[in-house]
Amino acid sequence: MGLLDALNTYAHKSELRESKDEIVVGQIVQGLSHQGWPCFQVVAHSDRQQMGFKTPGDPILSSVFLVVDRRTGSGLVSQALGSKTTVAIAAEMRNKVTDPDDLAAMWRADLANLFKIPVHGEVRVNHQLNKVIARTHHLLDLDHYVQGTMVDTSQLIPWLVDQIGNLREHLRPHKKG
Amino acid sequence: MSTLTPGTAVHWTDPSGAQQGPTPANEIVGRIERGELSPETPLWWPEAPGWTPANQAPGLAEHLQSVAPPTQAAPGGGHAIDALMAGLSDQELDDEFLALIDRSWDMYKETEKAATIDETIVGGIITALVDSGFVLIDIGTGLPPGLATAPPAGAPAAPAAGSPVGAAPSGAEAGPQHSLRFEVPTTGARVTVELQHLTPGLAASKVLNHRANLVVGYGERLGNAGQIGQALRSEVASAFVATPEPGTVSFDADISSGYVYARIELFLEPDLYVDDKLAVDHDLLRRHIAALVHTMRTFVHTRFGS
Repeated sequence: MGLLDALNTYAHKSELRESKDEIVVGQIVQGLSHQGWPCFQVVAHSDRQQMGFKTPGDPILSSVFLVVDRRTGSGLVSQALGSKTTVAIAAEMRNKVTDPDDLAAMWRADLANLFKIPVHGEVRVNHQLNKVIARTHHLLDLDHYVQGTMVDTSQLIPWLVDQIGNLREHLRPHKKG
Repeated sequence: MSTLTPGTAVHWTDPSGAQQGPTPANEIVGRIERGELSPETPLWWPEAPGWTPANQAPGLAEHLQSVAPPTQAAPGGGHAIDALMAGLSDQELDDEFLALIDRSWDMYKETEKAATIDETIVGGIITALVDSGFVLIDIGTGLPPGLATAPPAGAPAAPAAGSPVGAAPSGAEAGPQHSLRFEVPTTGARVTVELQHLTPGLAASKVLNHRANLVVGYGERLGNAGQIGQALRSEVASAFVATPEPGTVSFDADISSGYVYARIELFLEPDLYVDDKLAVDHDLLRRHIAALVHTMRTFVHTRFGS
């Protein structure tokens, strides 16, 4: 094996190692598309990808948003520490009409949220005029889903769908009509 | 009390209480009917026992029974609101209200589609390629032209500035450029995709229809430095093509990871793949991406014999 070939191989492995979050993002887009939720928003920055999905036919939700935010460094640091990643999930519900009572609830919820300490897995509900949004976030280790050239997200997508289902139940009482 | 005739001269008091007249009775009736005076305007005439409201005066009462009292502003504009809604039931008003809101939401969704159809296509491309066994290894969102940043490290270069294929139609500002890179984990074969919405926004899409610029590349990893150098020389040669047209194939190389790519640039009609509810026709998208990848792979194999 020549020197150039060896360097190329190293660069290739390094690329794949640093692509774990992108690989997982690709699997999420595909997995949720097969749930009937088309991806309509993709905003990607280095180590942080945001996706939005429409949820046609859902009785409560209008959209779901996910942010995959890789928390650890890249390269050797990432290799040593694993691939800890924050996955934030937000489910959005829309009411066609907002009335003053909704605004009062919005202010009460926002005030209550000010005193909450962010905890992984906690659900927060925010009112924004016609929208009511429930959010949660979790810490995932991407190494559970991507190891070298092996990719297995068969557990990840059902888990995400469960999380979204939980957010849906938090939003259900706020749905009108 | 004698009956008033049209010509009977009467005295009357105006709204300020000042006495007016004498005025023919028929003129008083006309002013009441025009709303200038109240039907209860006090009248006096020589045979009258005293000041008598016009709508109780013999001979005038029957003329004034159908005259409504003068409009008076009520708190909250009650009379005007009643007049505004005259002839419409509560159910009809509710139905009209909901129809207006529904139509507004339809228009909102139309605007939303115009703004996000490129990202919906990106999601569709990811789904089509991951379904086929690729993994997404790089994704980037560039800023609109003028604020453009470099593509992801290792990705082939963006289309040449001023290229008619890559340019937005006159009068339209292109949207951000989306860059994707996929790899088959077992073989290392790669597909690159760059997509830019050329007519973002409702006005541009209505006038020009949705149009996007698409660059699809296929790459394989070569260990032979000579072949990579050959691709790089081709890339330099490609840079001298000032006005590439659709169908122009270019070669590119990433020397750090040893990949060579063949790439093709073309226009895409996003409306072909995305409906009004943002549902994607994955089969058609996969079919078109497959055709492009197939041809680019043939170019790579023919050129580099890999």
